[in-house]
Amino acid sequence: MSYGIEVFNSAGKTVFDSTHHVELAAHNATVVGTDINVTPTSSNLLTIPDYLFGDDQHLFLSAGSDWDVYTGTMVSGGTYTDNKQLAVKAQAYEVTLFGSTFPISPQPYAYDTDYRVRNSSSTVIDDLNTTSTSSGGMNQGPFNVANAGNNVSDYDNAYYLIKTDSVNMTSYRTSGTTVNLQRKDTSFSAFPQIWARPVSSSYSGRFAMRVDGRDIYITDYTGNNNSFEIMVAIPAQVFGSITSTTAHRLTGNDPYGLCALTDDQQQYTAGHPTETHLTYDSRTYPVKPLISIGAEGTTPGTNQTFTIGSLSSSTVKRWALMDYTLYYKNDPSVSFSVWTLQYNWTSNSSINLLWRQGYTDPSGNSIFDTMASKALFSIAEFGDGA
Amino acid sequence: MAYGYQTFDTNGDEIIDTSTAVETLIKYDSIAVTLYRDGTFGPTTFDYDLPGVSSQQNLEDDYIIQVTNAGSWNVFVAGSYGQGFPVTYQSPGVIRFTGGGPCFTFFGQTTACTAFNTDYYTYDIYVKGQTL
Repeated sequence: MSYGIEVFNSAGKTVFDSTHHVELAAHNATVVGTDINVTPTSSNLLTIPDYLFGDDQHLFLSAGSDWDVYTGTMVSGGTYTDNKQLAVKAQAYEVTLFGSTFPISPQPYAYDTDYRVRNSSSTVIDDLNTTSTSSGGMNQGPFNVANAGNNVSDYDNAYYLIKTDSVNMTSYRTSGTTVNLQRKDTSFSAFPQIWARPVSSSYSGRFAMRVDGRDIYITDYTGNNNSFEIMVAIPAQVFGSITSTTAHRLTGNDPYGLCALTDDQQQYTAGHPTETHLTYDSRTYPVKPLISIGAEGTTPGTNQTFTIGSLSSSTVKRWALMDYTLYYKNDPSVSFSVWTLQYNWTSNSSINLLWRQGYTDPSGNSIFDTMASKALFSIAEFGDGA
Repeated sequence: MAYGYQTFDTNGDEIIDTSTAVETLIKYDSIAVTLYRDGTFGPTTFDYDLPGVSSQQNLEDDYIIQVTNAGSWNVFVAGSYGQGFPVTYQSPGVIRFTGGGPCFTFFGQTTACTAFNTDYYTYDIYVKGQTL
């Protein structure tokens, strides 16, 4: 490195420097373990805070093309039912596929993606509502299409209905008004690491993690409703983007300490301004791996044991990296049954990894195996007081 | 400690002491890899310099190569073609991403590859216990 600070351990290995981002603890919580094949409830779930996925996810890309507001005769099914709705004209064009040419009229925005609407002078009006159902006003349409859409001209008077979160759009429903749609930059999203450990020092059993959107929960194979501590770690660059109003400095939120920073020309998405990024912060706990192994369950239906490594006896809490316990392979002999790798926790200094039947998935989602190679399983400490 | 860097939390409990063999997990890089299905049109492998990697076992035990554009938060895999390129140890300090493979029509029938048949993945790379 050509600038900044670099700190080594006793073996000459890098502990942190001003170039690379140390994985730092940023959030902790306690959840109750979920029994196998039981739907988790609120006490079982931990919602990973939005800010742990990085601030770049909130940036917006350049606005797309303008959409003219439709002021023609509204037709059945396209009638305004809410003052937050706005009719925008369809923008059809021709495509050729397999030798045939036909018109298409893309929806004004995509499902499950964050968009907002601006006026022609680039003033932000409101976010588009992407959470309500279609009947509640997502991009409905196109309406008023002539001749079942055989030609581009059939869409001349067609329109979609869009809906904003909270702004009354009636003042924008006038001829000559244009709006444009601006999409969030999704090219960078942080990947939180989830570390877990049983609360009880006498816990003995297997546990693994599952994910539901941005909620996580621990499957406790003992079936005894044990509680688990969760520590969420993120790269320092993401840690540094968290606003000061959140309690993410887990060592006590002291207003002082030592930070390592990159130079001021760093950016992670094209839309982000160049700035310094954090690479280390003494005001929280770094991940300190003790032992680790790359592992993959071989055959569903056949038990396997993996030795991660030996741990010395210690009163300092150890934590298991849970991210890759998500992966499974189907057991073809049992309908919707999957096998997963699970931590087998005997004590704070005796932890190994087992390949066992994980759960059944009646949704049928598990027809696709997700574990296709080795992944990292690790035991770490975060600090004597963590 | 006779030398090094040591910190404590507000309760006086030690967080880190660099006079020991303490290791941290470090996000080393974020990269994008595009490989061709057919080597006639471009590279089907990509070699990447990764500090300290010394064997396939070492790669598996001390590194995370995480796919970040395969759909959702919970996607990892080195070695799973379809969810990312297989990643293997190549030589001291070098790993290899391997692409290539057959091309298919829209209906799943094999067909001749063209220069448009490429695969693209982005990765976050984490290392532990290395000299950077």
